[in-house]
Amino acid sequence: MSSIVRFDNVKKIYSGDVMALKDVSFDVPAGSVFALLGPNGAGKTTALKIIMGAVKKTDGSVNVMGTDPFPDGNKDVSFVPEEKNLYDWMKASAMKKYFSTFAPNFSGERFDRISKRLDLTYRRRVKTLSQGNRTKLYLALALSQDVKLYVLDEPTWGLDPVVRAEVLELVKEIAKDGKTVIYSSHILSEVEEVCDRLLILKDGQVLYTGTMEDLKKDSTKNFSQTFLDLVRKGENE
Amino acid sequence: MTYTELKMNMVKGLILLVIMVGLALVPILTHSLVTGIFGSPEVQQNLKNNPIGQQGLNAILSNYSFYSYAEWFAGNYNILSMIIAIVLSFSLFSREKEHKTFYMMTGRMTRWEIFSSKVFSGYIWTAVIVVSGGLFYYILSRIMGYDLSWTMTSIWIARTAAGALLFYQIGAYISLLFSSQSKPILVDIAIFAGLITAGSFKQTKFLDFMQYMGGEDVLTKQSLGVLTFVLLLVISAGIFTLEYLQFRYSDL
Repeated sequence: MSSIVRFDNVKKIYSGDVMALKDVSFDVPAGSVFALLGPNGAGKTTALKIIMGAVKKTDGSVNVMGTDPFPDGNKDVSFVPEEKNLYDWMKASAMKKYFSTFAPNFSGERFDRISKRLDLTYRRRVKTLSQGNRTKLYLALALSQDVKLYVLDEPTWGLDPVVRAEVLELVKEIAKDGKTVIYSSHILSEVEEVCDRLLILKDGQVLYTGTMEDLKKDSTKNFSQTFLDLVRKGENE
Repeated sequence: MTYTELKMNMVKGLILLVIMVGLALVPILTHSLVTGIFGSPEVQQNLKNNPIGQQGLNAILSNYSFYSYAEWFAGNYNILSMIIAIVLSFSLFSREKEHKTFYMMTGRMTRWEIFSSKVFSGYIWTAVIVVSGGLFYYILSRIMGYDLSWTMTSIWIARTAAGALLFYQIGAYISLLFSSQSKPILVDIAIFAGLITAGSFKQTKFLDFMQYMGGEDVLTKQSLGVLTFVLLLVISAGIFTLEYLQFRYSDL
């Protein structure tokens, strides 16, 4: 399986000597649903922003579909960031129109279908939407792009269980189409349900990278317990 | 994308346009009132000891080009153009940073596409509003029957537009440096005040390009002052380039 994203000894130091990533290396195989896990401050969001070309690595090499994503990113990638902020003064319908002017391979028809599935409130201004509805809108916009890689940072944050299940279904459908998904979440049950590979970060360092199957095979405990053991072990080392 | 950005700034742009055109009405419509006041016996009596003399002052007042210079082009139009440049530039990047809305565009647009659409839409609005203010003043003056020199008007418009675009560019650069909207507007106002203050001192007079924008030399020489005009544009282009490089190579 060829890799769609590759990190080789990537380091990121923010101003004030804050080390966000320390020699991080991993591969995301094309067509996989790849989980990015770790406690708060592990460096997950930084890694995703480096993939998107929004943040510059300090050292090492990053390759997204054959090129370094910084500074222009890659138009074959769709991103749902941790902060689901859109233009407050626009209605959801106007956001759709606005997004269609610059998002590559955006389908309005697909947006309508996803919005319906996510039960998205359409006619209200973004500023009046709840956090959950903002997440739905962001997901509908990002998933309406036909691209090779979807980068989803906390995609179910603030969603009710019914919509959350629908989002997981959408991710599975995307994977079935042969697309790659990078999925960052704190909800381990979701990750276990949709992801086939994973990377666990802690304090900017890799604790584990490999397949979900291998991780489970090496442990007699369930996935959540295995994850917690890994993180705690990382703390003690 | 520049078109989309232009549309997004439509409300702000139109409000500024209405203010600009609305204020241009005032000196034209009050011209007869002002000349009437100056022509009154009480005022004429007080002007007797003026070194220019009664006749001199009356001559100045009846010169509509001079009146336009004093009341509009070197006054409100000049200052308003700078304020418009501030209003259109201060939130250009800082708003996106503050609300973290840049991530909507990340990857979907190149840095140049994001940068150019934002900066050019502000350029266009600034230029449209400034040129409209000058042209509207000229056209309405002619409609009202006043004899205003087109050469002078066009020079004042060109000078003010160049100055406003430079100040817009300074504002846009400052907007890029901050992650909140309040700081850029304060810094812009401080620079604006600093330029005016600099103009009061012989050694730093060259920094106050507002003096060039509403230059009184236009009344005598009727010349654009090509060197200064080109210099303002070159400085704008230099800031534009630095600003783009800063935007291109920094974290969003």
